[in-house]
Amino acid sequence: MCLSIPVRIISIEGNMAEVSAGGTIFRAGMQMVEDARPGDYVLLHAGFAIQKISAEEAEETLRLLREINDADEVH
Amino acid sequence: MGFRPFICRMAAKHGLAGYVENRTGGVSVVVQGDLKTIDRFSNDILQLAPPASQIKSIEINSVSIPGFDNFKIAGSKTHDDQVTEISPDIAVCPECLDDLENDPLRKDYPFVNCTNCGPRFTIIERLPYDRPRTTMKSFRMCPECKTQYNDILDRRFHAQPIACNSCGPVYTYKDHNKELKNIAEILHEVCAQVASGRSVAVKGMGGYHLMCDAFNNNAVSELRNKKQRDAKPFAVMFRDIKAVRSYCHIDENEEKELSSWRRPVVILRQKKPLASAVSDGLNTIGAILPYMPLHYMLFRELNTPAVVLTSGNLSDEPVIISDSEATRLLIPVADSILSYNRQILNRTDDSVVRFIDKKISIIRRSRGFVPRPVDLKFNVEGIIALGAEQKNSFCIGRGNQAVMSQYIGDLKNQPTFNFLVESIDRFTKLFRFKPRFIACDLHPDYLSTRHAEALMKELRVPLVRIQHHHAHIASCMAEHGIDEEVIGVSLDGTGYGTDGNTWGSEFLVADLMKFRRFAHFDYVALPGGDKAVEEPWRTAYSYIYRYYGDDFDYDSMPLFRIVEKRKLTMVREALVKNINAPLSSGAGRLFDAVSAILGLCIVSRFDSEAPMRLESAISDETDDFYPFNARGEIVFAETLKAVLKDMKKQTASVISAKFHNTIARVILEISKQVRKETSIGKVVLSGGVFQNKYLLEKTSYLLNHNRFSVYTNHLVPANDGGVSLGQLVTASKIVK
Amino acid sequence: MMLMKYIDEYRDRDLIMKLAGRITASARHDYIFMEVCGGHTAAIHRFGIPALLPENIRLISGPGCPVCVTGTDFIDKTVAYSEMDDVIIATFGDLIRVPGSSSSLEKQKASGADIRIVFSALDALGIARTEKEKKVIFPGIGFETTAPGTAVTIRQALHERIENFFVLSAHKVMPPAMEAIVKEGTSINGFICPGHVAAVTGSSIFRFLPEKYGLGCVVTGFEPTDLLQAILMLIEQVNGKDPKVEIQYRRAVTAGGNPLAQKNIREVFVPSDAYWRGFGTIPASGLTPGRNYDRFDAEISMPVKVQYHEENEICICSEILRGLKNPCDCPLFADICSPENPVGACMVSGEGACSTWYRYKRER
Repeated sequence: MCLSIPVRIISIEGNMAEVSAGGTIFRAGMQMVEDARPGDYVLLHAGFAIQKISAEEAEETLRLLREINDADEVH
Repeated sequence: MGFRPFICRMAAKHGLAGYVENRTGGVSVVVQGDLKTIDRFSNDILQLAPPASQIKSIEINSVSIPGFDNFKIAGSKTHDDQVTEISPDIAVCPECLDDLENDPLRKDYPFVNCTNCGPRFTIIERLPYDRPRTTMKSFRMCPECKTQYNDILDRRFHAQPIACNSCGPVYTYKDHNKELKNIAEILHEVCAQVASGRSVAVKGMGGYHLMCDAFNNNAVSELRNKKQRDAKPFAVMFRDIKAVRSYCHIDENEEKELSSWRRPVVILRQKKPLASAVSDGLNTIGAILPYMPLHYMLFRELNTPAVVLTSGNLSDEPVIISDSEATRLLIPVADSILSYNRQILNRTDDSVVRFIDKKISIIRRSRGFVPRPVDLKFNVEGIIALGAEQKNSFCIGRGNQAVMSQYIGDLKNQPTFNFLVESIDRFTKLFRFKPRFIACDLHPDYLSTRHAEALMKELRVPLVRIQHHHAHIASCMAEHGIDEEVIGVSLDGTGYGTDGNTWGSEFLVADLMKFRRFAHFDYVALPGGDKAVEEPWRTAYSYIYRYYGDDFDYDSMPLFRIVEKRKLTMVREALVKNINAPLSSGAGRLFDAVSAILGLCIVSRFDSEAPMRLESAISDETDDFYPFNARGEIVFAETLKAVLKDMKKQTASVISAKFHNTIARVILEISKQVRKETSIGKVVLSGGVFQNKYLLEKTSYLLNHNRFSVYTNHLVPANDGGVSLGQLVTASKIVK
Repeated sequence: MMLMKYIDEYRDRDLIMKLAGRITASARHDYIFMEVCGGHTAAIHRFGIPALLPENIRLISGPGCPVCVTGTDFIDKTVAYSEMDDVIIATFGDLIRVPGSSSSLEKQKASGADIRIVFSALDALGIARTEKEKKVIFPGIGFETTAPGTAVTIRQALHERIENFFVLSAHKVMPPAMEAIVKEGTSINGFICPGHVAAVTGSSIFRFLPEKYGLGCVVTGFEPTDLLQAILMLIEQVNGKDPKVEIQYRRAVTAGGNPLAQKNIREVFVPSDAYWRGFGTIPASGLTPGRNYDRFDAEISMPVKVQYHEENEICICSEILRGLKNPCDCPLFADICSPENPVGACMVSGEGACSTWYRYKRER
């Protein structure tokens, strides 16, 4: 229950959306996320989208991690 | 207090037409416009509302009615808006303080106010709240003021007390050889008096004050002597919050309350000393910030960062509000008198609060609070509750609200009794109150009881008598909207019990209607009755005699070596022969005894001095506690034995802490016993003893840790000043 | 299997090993870090994080599992409701097997009570919509991640004027419990802060930890690289004596969080005193429906009284939740108490420390 997973929005109708987690389809209440569109990623928790996932920040995190990776290689 | 004019200004700001009117249960605003504008309008209302207003909720509905050309304040249709109409008095606001410096009309005008601040309750005669029905009626608005009064966009739009240097009240200063009317000269003279160590009687908002330099020990001591109230700590007005921070420990909650529009006295822990005569050995200071324009103007010139600002009264009588009485009674005490020519109608003391567990605990509920009601979950219309004796307040029921009176005082003398009767009369008229039921304390001799009986005969309405400690618990339950059985712990010094004895350490299984006495401290005899309360060494002797009898070397105790041998013998006689030694189970008495045993207070010079000094002595942190017996009656024989043993090696600070911890443990133990039997998990703590910060925090912590939910008083005092609320709600359940 | 975006990239083996190496190199002192999220407890053990860390770093689990910290009386109340003829209990799955003092929802269901598992509060409302003759009670557990969903649902119920939907709230907020842990005196050097709670509340709610107590915080995601990066950030805070609130989980968490979700919580709920197993009652740590919504509160609309029971004395769930002991220290662990026959909530809940240890780490 406490699990939240990143899911992709497939379609939105009114307050509810169809979302996909690696192919499995769920329904999510969108009352707490504004301006979301199909193709966006959100965190799904207990049947609700609770936050948008920022693609830029995700990329940034990966970049930082890879930097650590590379930095080590120099050693 | 300026809410409807505020709505007008907001409507004008957003270009909305419509009206605002008072309705039962709130304010109704009708506006015509597009949704987005209306949305911004309601946001503004929430964000910018006047500081003293209390927006509980906003409901937005759409209605179909004919359109409007403009925005106006509609006349009040019903009289049920009464209770919300009268605002508590509000401290001068920053905008007015700015006007004091910069507004040409009001520069140095010592009564500057606006719709958001100034005197309200203290000057109102009758409703509706309009100038002619306040004591401002004798001051006619000059043309400039009138223009501002009628200008919807002015901050003084519809400000009833509006006035200025040319049309408003004025201050006068008088001493033995001169009289001054010019405000600049007055300020200069008053500051000179204070600087030279003299006292000044100052007419405040709700009554007279006596003022002197808080750093001049001679001045403070002399004031004490003349006031005939030897040892009670004096309140201290500091120049500003910075000064408070220098001399007191203060956290953000305390700061917020101290600076709030209510401007109460906040009890803070002392950091740096003032004149020793101010707190006389206690480690707390009652700090207050300036709240009248005059205070600010004085501090501009005063050198000292703090002045004693104590109530202008003579021992135990209500604070003086009449100018003639002030001249007669206060001139002997102070060396000069500063008054003004507007009448104070409703006497109101400064409020006193303390923060316990980061939440507010009201010790004296008066200026800034009265007459704001307490919201209840059920109807209490027509009930008046007369309260108890000490720190009396009464309470009237209007709809689902309890309107508490201001602090009346200890109902032990004629002037205070007169004040009670007069206030009841005034509240009845002010709130158009029609009494249908009367509630009072069980005690047959309280002056409040006597008056209740008189009212019963005069008005021909039923009277219910509510047990004192049940009323304490009920007051707290009412605050929190609890209407089910709870574990009620009511600890105080004295309250009349259903068995005719003096109770005061009550563990009740109670709901709002009835109660069952589950446990209490064992009874102890008080040799000399009231004398034992005034001289705690007697109570100490009685406790020791009860547990040790003659098998105790009374001479070995420093406490008993101090007391005259003759008196000791008399006390022993009284106990042995049971003469004039009434029984009491008051928790306060146990605190008295321990305080005396530790040598902290042998003779009380003011009410609760002994327990206050006992609490004040604690500077150590410990979780240790003494043994006790809590099966059936709660017996402290083992506790006292352990205390006496500890006296040989421990400091008073440690012993006091351990003793307080013991009481907290007793409360936990009994609560567990009740829960085992009844599965009740809510504990209500009320009664004067719970003004003790250390005890309340320790007890709450232990109870929470053991899975209880704890409830304490925050809207009305835990001391006898809150009893009338409890009487009111209990009566309402009984009469249904 | 389809690539799971925002998950798989953070499980890159290479990155994981490099991060582990970097941690070992930086770990100059002894460190104790506490996580307070059931999801973190599960992730840490599922991905074998402790094995990747040097000996001088200890990870302990705090009260992060909402099922585990809820008292037995909550289950007892739900059981009592389930015995009423006209009541349907619509509940999250994790609550079904939690033992009450004499029964559990699972046992009640076996005896014929109408108990249905839902994945969302909205589903529970849906049941109320169709089963108009029955009263539907939704036991609401979860922290700030879950509470907004319940709030939205209650508002929806009000909007549709549904009269037969009730919530029995055991929702709680994290900061008071974290403060309670710290105030008791602690050797913790820093917190791995819950990423999904913070997605809703914003990372600013943890500011009191560095500001008042000098403890470092990193708001962390749930993949192995997230956890390792966070541990590295915490080590750097401790090494540099620079405690602060940092966000590792940048793709979902900001300082301010999700204002819409917060608005829903504020609109519907008010703070209340709540009982936390292992801590007692912590003031203002719970959420219950406020004045305008209190008719949706089962405790107000249909109050039920349950017998008070002391918690099982041998079960040391409370100490485990405070991070004082490990599941293997419990005499009942993997013996009398197992996922098939749980004694305490820590074993029942999928995120409980005990059930996690049982699944991934059965050492004695």
